[in-house]
Amino acid sequence: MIRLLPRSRGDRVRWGVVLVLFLFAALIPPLAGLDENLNPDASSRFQIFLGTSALVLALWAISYNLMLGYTGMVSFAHAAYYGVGAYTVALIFKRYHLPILVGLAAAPFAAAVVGVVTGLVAQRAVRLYFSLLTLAISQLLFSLAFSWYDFTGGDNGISVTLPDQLSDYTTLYYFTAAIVGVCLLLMFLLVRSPFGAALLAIRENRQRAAAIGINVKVYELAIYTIASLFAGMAGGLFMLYQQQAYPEMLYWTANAQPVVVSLLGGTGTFLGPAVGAFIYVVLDNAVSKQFPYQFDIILGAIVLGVVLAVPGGISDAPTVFLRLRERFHRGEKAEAAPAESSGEAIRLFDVRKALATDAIQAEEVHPGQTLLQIDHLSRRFGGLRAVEDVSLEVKQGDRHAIIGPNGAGKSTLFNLITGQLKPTSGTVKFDGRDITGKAPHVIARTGIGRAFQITTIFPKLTVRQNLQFAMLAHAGYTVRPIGFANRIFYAEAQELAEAVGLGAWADLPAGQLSHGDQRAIEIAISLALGSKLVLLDEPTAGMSAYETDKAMELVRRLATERHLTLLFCEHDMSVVFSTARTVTVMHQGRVLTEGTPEQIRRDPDVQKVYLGELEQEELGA
Amino acid sequence: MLLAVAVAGAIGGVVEVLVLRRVYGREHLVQLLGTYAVSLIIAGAVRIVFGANYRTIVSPIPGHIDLGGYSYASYSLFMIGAAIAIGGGVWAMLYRTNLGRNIRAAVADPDLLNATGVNVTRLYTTVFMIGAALAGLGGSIVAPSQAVGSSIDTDVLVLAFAISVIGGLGSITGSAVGALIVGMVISFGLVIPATNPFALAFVFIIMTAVLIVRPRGLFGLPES
Repeated sequence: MIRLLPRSRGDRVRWGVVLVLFLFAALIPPLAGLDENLNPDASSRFQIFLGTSALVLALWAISYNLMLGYTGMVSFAHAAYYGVGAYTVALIFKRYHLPILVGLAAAPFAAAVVGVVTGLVAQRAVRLYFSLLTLAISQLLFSLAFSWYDFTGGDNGISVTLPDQLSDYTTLYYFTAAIVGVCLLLMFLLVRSPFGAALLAIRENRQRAAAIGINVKVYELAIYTIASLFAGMAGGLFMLYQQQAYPEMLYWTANAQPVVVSLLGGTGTFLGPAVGAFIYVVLDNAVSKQFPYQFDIILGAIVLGVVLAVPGGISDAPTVFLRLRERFHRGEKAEAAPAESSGEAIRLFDVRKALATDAIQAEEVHPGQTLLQIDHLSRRFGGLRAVEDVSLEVKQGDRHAIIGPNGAGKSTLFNLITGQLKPTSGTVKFDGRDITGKAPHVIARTGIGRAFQITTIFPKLTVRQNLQFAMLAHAGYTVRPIGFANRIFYAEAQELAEAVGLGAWADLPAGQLSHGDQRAIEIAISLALGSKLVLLDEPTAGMSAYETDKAMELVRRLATERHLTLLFCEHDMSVVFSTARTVTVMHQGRVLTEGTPEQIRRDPDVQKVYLGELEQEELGA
Repeated sequence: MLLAVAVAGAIGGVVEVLVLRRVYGREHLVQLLGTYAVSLIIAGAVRIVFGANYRTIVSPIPGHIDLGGYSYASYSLFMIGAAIAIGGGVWAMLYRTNLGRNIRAAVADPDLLNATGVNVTRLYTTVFMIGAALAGLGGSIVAPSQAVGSSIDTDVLVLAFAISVIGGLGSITGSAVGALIVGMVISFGLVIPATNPFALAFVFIIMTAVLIVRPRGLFGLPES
């Protein structure tokens, strides 16, 4: 259903601000003309020129924020793609004597080609090393532009005289505004799409993103390339109004500008960087006029102030305003939504409702057939044999527990199954397919869901989004660059959230919930994947006895009625013996024994392991 | 020169206490931007105090020395000697003193070190001051051999990044070897006419190659 007016007051304020921004941008040339008429000192041409530069800076900064704000990648090479865009326009026009619009059309694609090639290289590393690689790449491209006199004009750069129809300031402004507007719209649709949802998931938690079936590297390369495409467009437009391209555009410190602008405006919102761009341009102009040498100091002081005091940037202001207002009106609104959870969610677990939820897909199963087969699996860390020659079979429909003292290799075994670790030797077969050493996202897509021992959720996304995004990834929708991610699986995610007792908190960021509730999300995510096999690594860690009972009741009944196959490890023996049908005991990386809970309970060897009496020699036999 | 060391160290201490301490827990980018803002402020202040022009300083050790038929500026030889001495000094500090042991422990696990009764907050300040003082020392030694201006920061910084990465983060031997490699590549690249324009590009090709093949650098420790 399409709503004409935004529902919440926060949305209305935000869209109001956006509308004012766009009106302001559209009215800059007439306003500048008016200003010139009233004030003989003012030059409307110069002000329109400033407006153009603010638009281009806004596009550049938002393209940077596609990576920074939505994926969390810190790149030093983004300015290089901006520069490539500017050089493309200049070179095509000057060297090949083609119309300037041909160059402008080619600029984003040239930047994207350079972006995808260098992005592939940069992707060989992650986080800090990724940033350092982009730094090296950016300096490499800079040295090329700087030193290759015959082609790029070296340190002189290239200057171009525009054809007549674009040399008028007002025309150029509206031309730039139109292109920037289209680019912003495309980027906005992209970040709201299921594809954008995958990016958010990656920013929030790479490991969890992979575990719900997102191919992290491919998505990162895709957004890197798309960001460089728009940076190239911005660079091409820069070339138009500045009428020159020069090597310093590619220098690594040039990246500071979009970053500072994004930060000023706020990296958390889509248009934040655009607000930052206008502030930056106005500030730059005002300060440079009066204190030509002090701009750096003032900029430095402002950046420092923003970093230390307002990490959300200026566009956070409406949110802050709303929050203050709500606090002021608190007395009148007694029935406000719960602001935080108190660990009660698990008490609201509605097992019956959860079982009836369609969101948890039931697979057709053939009880008794082998679902997961592990053969002679080993993993060594240097001299440490964390998992040694483990063979294991999990039957369809079974509830299979792995127990063993700390350091027995349980978590390592889970990591080997779900691809976080690659085995030294041995094979893992799932549903007849060999999945040994496959990447986590591939394994997740074959139908193995996982709840981690340490809670891994998407902390800044809402509880509902956590579940929604897992469903999106599982359904393979995250490749779609169009459509609104928040509207797909909305009802299903809400239903699942209510079923696991989190309905009232569905709109809260997951990270704000208590530990027990976050565990509930963790379990719900692994259920939202509709997997045939669910791996639970100490599902009840940190839960109270009551919470444990409720959680395990749900897990148990799901397994029976929805034919889920469970493989879990657990320290709480009452959980193990009440839930498992098969128990495997691990000790020092090896399988000690396997059997029904009754057999395991009576096994003298198991008792010895837990009492710490088993000697090394006995094991070796 | 002593003044340079003292001033750089003092500024480092102030910056650490006022800015860095507040951003340790935050993302890399925030830390980066914080220090970037500080560098803008310092560069701006330098420009106001000393003006925007490049300056040259007369070498305190004039003359040339003949070695094996070639003539070298005495001051260049002094710089080589000083570099070796400072490198050795830093190594001795890290591996032969209590302070150095604490620094290495803080790299491995600051919380655990804190729990053993070491004031890690003060340790960070100390390390940052030492680093800043060393940078001041390096700058003051190099100053007579080249033109000095307020924009010296970014060029030096990017080369320092390249050297650390090639040698391996957190390794003094690595930094020394990395510096040698980078220095040689630039020098030879500039001397050979065919490669002259692309001398700097080679440095970054090497940096890229090292990061891809061996991200921890030539002498860096593997990441746990």
